[in-house]
Amino acid sequence: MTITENKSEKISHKIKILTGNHAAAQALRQAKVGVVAAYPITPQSPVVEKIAEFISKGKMNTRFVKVESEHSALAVCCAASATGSRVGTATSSHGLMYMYEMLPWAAGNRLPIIINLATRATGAPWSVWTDHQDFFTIRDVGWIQMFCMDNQEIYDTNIQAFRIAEDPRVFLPTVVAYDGYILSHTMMPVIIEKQEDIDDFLPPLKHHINLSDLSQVKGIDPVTTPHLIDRGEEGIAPGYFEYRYAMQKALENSIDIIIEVHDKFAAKFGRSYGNGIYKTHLTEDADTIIFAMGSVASQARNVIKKLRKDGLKVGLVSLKLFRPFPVSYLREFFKNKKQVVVFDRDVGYGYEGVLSYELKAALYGLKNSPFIKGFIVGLGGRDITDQHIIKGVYKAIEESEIGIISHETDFIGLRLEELGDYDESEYFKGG
Amino acid sequence: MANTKKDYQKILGSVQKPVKGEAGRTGSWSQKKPVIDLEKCIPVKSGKPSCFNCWLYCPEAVVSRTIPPKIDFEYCKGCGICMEECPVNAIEMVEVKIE
Repeated sequence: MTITENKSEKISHKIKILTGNHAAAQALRQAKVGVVAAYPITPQSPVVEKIAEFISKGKMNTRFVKVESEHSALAVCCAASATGSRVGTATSSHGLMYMYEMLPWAAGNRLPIIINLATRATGAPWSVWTDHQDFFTIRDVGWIQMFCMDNQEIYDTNIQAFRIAEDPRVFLPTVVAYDGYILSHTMMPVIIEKQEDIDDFLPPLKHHINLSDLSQVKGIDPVTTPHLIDRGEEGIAPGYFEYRYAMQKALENSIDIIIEVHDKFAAKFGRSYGNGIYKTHLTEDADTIIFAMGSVASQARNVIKKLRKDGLKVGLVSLKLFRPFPVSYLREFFKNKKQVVVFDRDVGYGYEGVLSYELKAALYGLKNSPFIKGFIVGLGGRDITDQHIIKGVYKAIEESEIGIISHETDFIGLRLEELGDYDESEYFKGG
Repeated sequence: MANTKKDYQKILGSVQKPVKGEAGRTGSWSQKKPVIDLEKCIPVKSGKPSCFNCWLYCPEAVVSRTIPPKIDFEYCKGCGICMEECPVNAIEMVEVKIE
């Protein structure tokens, strides 16, 4: 986060000490969401608990719908959004995966719903600790996906996300993610802006669908055929192909709007996050770039000074916008870099770290394309230490110089050697 | 391709008014058809445009917003939603012979 002071204006905000979850709840309160439907799941639950508290204290004029599952939670959110209401919710891990069936409906109907995702590993084995696996499971459903690095960013990104999602050029649902526990349960000072400033930045939603307007009977989601549909007096309607084309184009072009909204936010509130799609740290003279997201990027940020003392020209790119993937910006940024070290807190199982292969694909065919080496770190909440990052950077530089291109995944922070003669296969023998 | 941006922005999720007969003549899909008991029907009884749940909920737009409501059997699929939604149980699904 970069803070640009504006001394001409009086301080009009409050600073509160908040967890990431409560920062998200505060943002949803100030965005004046009309409907919240959610189901509890660790580590997200405090978001909606706080919202329930706001509602019971009369601080929020919001309909809270209690549901029996995450699938129903998002189904309620979709229906509420289609009546023209501003809608937000929160979930984690298997909760998000239980919502999965409804996610493409929200995107296809272009409903500007915001989900706060406190990231968590996916089972089995059972884990409630953070990694980014859940975030990547929804890569291909058509949602905008953003990732935060601190609690202020969670609050700010939520406010921006509503404005982005509700822009008539976009109309797409958005996920705002942050690491479970590392941010969701950690307190930090968060600036809470005045309500009238938020109202000014975030005018009431003008939805393209309003099913509560009974003067016009409308439906959403009729069966949409492969071909164009002659709807008589209504004219020729698009087929499925056209709808999906429009959705993809809206996603591609939303990058401009995401940057635009970020810049307007920065101008109004004095806080910016890189260029709105990624944040850089000491990259100007760097030939080696660490590429990571969320908690992993925070950890990497700590060691850059140390690596620079060792004489390595290392910088950090922390990705904020994952979908749409900002390909042209990344190609421009990485065109003359020597090597990129990607740290993934996830695995694209059967392939490699998701960020790693996404970046490789994005830089395909680039002249002077950098050497890219990916590492898997910190799955299921395993601590990522400075040593892990340092080890990764050195190994990547070494492999880059020798010219080893390996397609095997490389894990850092495994402790297999401490397991001794532990043998689970004993349990599975008959008898 | 200069117009692409403008074109895609006009397509925003499939929100449509129901139009009858979109999938061809669907009247033959079901053997049961809704029949409205005009003695129970709210707009008929009150003589005022009211209720019209059958018109509102019909997914095929085959119920008219008139007094009495009329059903176009050429396109009615016989789904029974109108029967389900009628607050005074004025609609019954009756077996109908189709030529």
